[in-house]
Amino acid sequence: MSGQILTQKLKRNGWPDDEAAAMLDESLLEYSTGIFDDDVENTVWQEWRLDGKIVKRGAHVTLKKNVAAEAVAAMFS
Amino acid sequence: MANTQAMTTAFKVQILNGSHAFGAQAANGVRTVTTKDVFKLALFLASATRNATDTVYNTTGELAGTGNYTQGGVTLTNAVAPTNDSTTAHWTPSASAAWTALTSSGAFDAAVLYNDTATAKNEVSVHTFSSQSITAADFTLSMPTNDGTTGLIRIA
Repeated sequence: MSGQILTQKLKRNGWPDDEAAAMLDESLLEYSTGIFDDDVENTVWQEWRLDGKIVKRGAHVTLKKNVAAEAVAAMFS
Repeated sequence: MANTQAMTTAFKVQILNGSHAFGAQAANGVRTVTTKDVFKLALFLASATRNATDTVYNTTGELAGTGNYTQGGVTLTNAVAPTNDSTTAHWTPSASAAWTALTSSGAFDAAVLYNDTATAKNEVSVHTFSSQSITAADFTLSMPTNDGTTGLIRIA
């Protein structure tokens, strides 16, 4: 079954929803992953597309450096 | 509109008023805090405007309560009491925050930390990251190293 026909069939059955997406043949999907890294975070994402449309995408964000308050003690003058 | 990483100004005042208990402590001659407060983390759309001027958690700009997301967010694991490295005090949740089989109602780029024990749900801070849209998959937010340089909440 081509990806396009499968998409039409899934849409007739109420796709996208978790149950229908879980039944997709993974070989029909285009998989990609990537990393974003800077001073604030390290993020790894994964996604699966069917006919160019995302059917599943997850991400793991690891925070690196966060908010700080500077405490100031005033001096008597 | 955009979210801005910040410790809220209201929280700084509340620290001086003793309004938050990130850890329990024994009697200290002034007051006894035997029960820690519960802190939660909620996800906010990239179109929202959460920043240092916030005072309390509310659902304005939060992900909709759909696709396995519950408004209000998730409870953070708090097993490590605040401590200090040299002159910097710090606190960090002791486990990641995770959402399973999530389909987000839109792109999001911020998490708001707030005190769920407080009646007003006082907001502590806003933490930003690259914009994410999640579809039928897990989203995990792992915490930084808990020290005086990178801890989630630091007072230097």
